[in-house]
Amino acid sequence: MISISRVIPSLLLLVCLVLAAAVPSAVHAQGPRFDLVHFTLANGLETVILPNHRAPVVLVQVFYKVGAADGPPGKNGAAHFLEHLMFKGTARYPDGAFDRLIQSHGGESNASTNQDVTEFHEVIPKDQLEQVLDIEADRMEHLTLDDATVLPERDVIIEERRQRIDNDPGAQLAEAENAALYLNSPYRLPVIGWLHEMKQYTTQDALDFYRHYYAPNNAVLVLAGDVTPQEARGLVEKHFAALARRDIPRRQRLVEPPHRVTTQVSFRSPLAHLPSIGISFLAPSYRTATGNDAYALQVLREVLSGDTGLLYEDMVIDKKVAAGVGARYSPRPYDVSSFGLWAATNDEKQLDGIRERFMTITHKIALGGVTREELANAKKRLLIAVIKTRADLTGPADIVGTGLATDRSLLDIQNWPTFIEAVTNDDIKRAAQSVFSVPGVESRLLPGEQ
Amino acid sequence: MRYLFLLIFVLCAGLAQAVTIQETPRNVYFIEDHSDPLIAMTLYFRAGWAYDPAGHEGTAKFLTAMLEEGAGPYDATAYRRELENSGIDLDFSASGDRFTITLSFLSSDRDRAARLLNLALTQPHFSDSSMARVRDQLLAVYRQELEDPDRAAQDTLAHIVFQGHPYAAAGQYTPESLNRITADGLRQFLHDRLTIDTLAAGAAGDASASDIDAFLGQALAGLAAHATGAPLPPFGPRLPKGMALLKRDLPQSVVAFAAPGIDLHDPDFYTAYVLNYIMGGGGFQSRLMREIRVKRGLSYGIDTALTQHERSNILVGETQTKTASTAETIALIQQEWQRFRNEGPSAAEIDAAKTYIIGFYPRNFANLTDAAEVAASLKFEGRGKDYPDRRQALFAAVTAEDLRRLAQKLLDPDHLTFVVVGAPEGLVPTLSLPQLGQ
Repeated sequence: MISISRVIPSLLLLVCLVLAAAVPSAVHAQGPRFDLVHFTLANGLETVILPNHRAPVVLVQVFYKVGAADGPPGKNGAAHFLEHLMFKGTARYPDGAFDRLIQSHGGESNASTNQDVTEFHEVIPKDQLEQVLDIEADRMEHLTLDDATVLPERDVIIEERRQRIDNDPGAQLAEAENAALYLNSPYRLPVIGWLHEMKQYTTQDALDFYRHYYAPNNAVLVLAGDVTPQEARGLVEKHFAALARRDIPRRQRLVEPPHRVTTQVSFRSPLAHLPSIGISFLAPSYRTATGNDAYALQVLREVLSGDTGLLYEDMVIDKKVAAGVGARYSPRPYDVSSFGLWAATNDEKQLDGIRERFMTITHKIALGGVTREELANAKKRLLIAVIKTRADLTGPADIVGTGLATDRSLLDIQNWPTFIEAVTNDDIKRAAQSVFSVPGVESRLLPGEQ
Repeated sequence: MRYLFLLIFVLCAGLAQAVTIQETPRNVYFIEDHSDPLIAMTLYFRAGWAYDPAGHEGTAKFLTAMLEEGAGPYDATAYRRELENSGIDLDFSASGDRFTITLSFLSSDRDRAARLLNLALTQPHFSDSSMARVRDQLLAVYRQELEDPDRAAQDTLAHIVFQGHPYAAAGQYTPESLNRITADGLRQFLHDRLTIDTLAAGAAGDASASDIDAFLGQALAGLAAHATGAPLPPFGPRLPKGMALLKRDLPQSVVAFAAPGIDLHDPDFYTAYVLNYIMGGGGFQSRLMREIRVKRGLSYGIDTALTQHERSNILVGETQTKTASTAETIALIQQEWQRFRNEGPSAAEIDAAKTYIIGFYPRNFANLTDAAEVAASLKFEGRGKDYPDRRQALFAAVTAEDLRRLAQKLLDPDHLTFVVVGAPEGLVPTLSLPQLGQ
């Protein structure tokens, strides 16, 4: 299938694309679940070991339970700013020595930030494991920053914003769509921050954020790859046990009021060339859902999207109103998530008709659900994808680490296939009714002069 | 995310102590691995977009989509359901030199996967309704790419550097060329170019060598033995000194650049690879990243790569910087070119580059899909299956002297071509824009 995409007003705007591609719909292990060992140090550091001996390589990943939505007012990009600065140095590893050491041994390091979680990872030859654990432990407590290193990095994140958003009309529309979808939740603000506010960030802002949130009891450490649980546990204790616990501010996020109004945002830009439309609804996450709604919505997303999905069949093959379509939903945010439908077309005149089709389809599902065959096939696809994810190095680490960092229980994470298996058509109807009956946000990207 | 590396590093030189590649009787490079009940395969045919008939640009890409639009007893939807509902990932794609088929499936579904691939290759429907739909989708992709300034910069650069060769198209097509492509044209391309003699295959996973050969025998039965049509001619890239400017009203400029590259089989290839790493390919350890991002905050990132077309090659780079610092960024790149020529790299830089290049290689085998792709690439590039073992020594042997010598040739300020997409003020282009489509 030709892949046509649309910039999604995502909560995961800055999440590493490699991970996103490796884990298409947050799938987990069927039957035999992830083979893992889980323990917590006395200082509160939760640790997961995922052995995988395909290559002599280890993934080290640290998830901090803090993201853009935890930033102070006017500084919601602080989490991402600090993510960048975490590579600058400590007394023991000054002046970017992390990267130099890791890379000179054939390793690679990177990081990502979303609304809820900030994540750092290294993929390294196995003989570098102890070195990397020492680095991660050291920068959990001893980061040093000064204006000489911080201010050029502030310019870097401003360039990052220009590259990802200001140069891209679709990304600018997505920002407006997000601000319209969330009336009160901090998810309405971009993960990277607004440009005028980013220009005001200071070294002290970054240090304050670091001291509030970076501590062993606010982190999850995941080791995946060519390690045994015994040797890994010994090394983790050796390097992390001495770190001090801190008092971490409780996550208290602003809550959404009832939504009563349908909102429409549109952006006509000479830089846009392909007309598209999206409709987004508030939807529950794992944490905010009642019953099994979060699982039912994942199955529904699977029914709707993809090149054998209901939307493609209906709107691309049958009605021929769109060139590309999709559905998106992730239950992974800490707070309320969203469920979205989108379509792109070469003919702007089709957009009203596409909107009508979206309304008809969502209405029909809320009333009658999906067919028995659609339900069975969607579940089967999700469960086969689990087996592929299990074989991967990064997929399981991402799922388990992000899950624990957003307060899911390990039991729930491991039982994902069982929950998916149990979804019924009534569950889908009920979840669809509650999502699609609340007014959403419609967004349009249109080519041409304003 | 701290930095998104933009360029695809085409090359995978290698070493993997823990990985053994065997060659099957059907010449598949195969890595046997029974840790999960999965098989991954990559099939390369020498048949990418550079083989599109003149005036019919987009043919290879069109074919990649049409092979999933129904075959044998299955219409488009039924065919895709057969794949999806058994969890068979089958994907067709095209680069300049390669028409690529990637597969991953449960080892218990091997026969089904082979049968479905064979149907696509030998009994595709190419129905009128599918042709119309895919044409519309390719038009949508074309329009979407017009929104992407990186794509515009790379396309413009390719048009300058490869003018007169199919590589100049950079995989781009036009609404007009799309309209000329017919089902018969696709059948011709499929028959003439996807042939046994142009195949290079790699596989990894839960099978034996004979399983893999049985799979290929079944999947490729009915393909022609030999390719028809002219091979691609070799081409020396044109690298005029200067800068071409594509005006676009953007707050940030895209700066793309090209310099002389090197052939994969040139004895100096390993030296060039180390040179590129130190200059711009080494992420945060590269000179360009340090000067432009870390020290001055001018960009989110910059990188360079040795681009390996089969019949030509260049060193390419790209960065993005705000409009006001476009000229400064270009000057810094030129300055680093000169500094490397004058002083060469330090011993510490050379050591760090070599240990990285030698140490990273096992990561290529950390999942089955990557392992199959690396194996197929080695086959396509004409490397022996023992190459992973030999590669270590080849990189270790690179000297400071080699690097200084090669820098005079590759980092030649008289052959450094820039393209800027954006609205920089006071920056006067010295090269004219190529006529796209030529």
